[in-house]
Amino acid sequence: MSEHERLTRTLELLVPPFEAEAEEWEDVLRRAERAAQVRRRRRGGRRPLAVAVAALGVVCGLVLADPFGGGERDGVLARALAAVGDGPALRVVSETQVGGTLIDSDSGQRTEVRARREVLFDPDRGIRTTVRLRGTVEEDYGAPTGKRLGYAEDAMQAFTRDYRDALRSGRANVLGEEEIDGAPVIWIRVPLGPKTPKARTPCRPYKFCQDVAISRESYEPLYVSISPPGLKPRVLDRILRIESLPAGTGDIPGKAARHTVGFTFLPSSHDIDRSGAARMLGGRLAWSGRRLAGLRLGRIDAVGIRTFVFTKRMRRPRYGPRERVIRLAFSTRGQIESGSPPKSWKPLLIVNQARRPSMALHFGLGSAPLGPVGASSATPHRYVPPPGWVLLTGGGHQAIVRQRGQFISVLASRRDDLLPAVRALTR
Amino acid sequence: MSAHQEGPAASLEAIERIYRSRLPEFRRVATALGGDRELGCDAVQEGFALAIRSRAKFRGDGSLEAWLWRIVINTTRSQRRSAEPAAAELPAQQAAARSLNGQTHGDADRVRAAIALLSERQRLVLFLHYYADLDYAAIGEALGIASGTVGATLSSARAAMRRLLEEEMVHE
Repeated sequence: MSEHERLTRTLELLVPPFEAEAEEWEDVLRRAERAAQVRRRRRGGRRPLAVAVAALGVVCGLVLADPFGGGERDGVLARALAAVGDGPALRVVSETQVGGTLIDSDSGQRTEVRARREVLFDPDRGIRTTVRLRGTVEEDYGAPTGKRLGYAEDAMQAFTRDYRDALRSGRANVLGEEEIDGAPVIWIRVPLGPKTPKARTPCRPYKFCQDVAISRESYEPLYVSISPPGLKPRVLDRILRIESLPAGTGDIPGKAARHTVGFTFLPSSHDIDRSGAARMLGGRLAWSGRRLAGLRLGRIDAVGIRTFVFTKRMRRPRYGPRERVIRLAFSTRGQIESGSPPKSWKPLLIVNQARRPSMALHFGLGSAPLGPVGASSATPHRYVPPPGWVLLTGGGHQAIVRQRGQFISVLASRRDDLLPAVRALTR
Repeated sequence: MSAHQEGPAASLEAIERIYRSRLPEFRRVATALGGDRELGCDAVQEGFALAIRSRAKFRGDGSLEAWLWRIVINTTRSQRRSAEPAAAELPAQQAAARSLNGQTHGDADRVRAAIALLSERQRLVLFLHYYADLDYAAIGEALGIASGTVGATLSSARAAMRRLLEEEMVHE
């Protein structure tokens, strides 16, 4: 078989060919017409509004039309700069959205828990960022000066490294005012990198930018947007403390991992019977019968994964140890065999069990969580509550418990099924 | 792609002809790019609707099909970003964890993980070549790059896929 044929077959595993599907040219025409109507309506509505705004502009003058223009903008930026301090190193402690609600199984008492991120930055040594949930380290990344971190750390890296420079040089923009959790804030956008007309981000013409909300009263930073600017829903870190420190403070970048970790499935994943599953878990399979929250058991299988790190500089991925999880799927056979995450109204319960914490505890069918898109970003990957407590997370679609030395994660497509299932399993 | 060469301002009939003759390929590429079958099919519909509305802007300095590919690719990217705002910025290693079409674990997930580790351009070139059966010149026209660059990108994508998939087998 030639390489072309081999790759063609391999890629068919990913997306099989589309065959003889109904063409929907009429639908295309309807969509085009609908969009044209919306545009016509908007244009029609804009004209009187534009006239009104122009008249208002004449009456009120340019100063009122642009509340953060000229001197006021400079004043906001100067106060924001003064509020951060001028020591070379920075320590920022913020509250992330990782976490959920801890529920005491006996009393039903509920406690909100959120992970804390600590960022240490020194212009000469680099950056270190650590996320902890009730003492458990969820993430620990470091990078020397000039190296990038990934994903959410980019936002904190920009905030600690570039925020003060942007305020000082006047490159920062004042976006406007808003109220977040009752606190009046001013949003400031920090553009990063050189101007590039080809940049395709919401911060155009810059390559990247960072949004920071400062207090309207103290001008201290209150929130940093962790999601890409302009995209919604916004994911915010709430800043709890910010300190300007002398050079040399803290262990930066430390010996922490510098790269986010991916994972791959072991090809030996397979269906397994109940006794085999119990053996794999050391004889401690959490089991409440073939029905759970009214749903019928459709499949038991053993899922294996390996974590890996693979960067552009590496010739081969570096793999971590093998991890195995027993997965019980409760739903209709058709739903389970489809392998697709269900719509929110279709019932599906997944019970994952392992002898030690594993990334695979958080998978539904395949590698997708069962909650709505984005909800999984709140799920902690390493923290497991103490015995007798349930952590409700993933937008209310996932519960994590520890029982008789086992780690159990229950995922439900319908939120109402989740706690009854957990109670039945931990009874 | 030359069969669909048109003059300036594409006609509705020419767009319809390409839609009817190439719909499965457009849907397959959009599904692979968008990570979801429903999203991919919807992006193709939206992309062609946008093309109809903007057909007066077609300058005729390339083929109509290349212009349509560009629109569908951009619409798919945009819909993917709207559907998963945070995931759009995930590093490749994390993106490898996302389910593309909901298949259960196994070979498909391994291919998915390998694909996720390619660069955006490598993925696009791979999808357009293998899913839409476009030649280097057509891919270059659709993506606005030289056909020599297409060849080099495709070659590096193949090598990376071979290495990633073989690595996995060696380790297992």
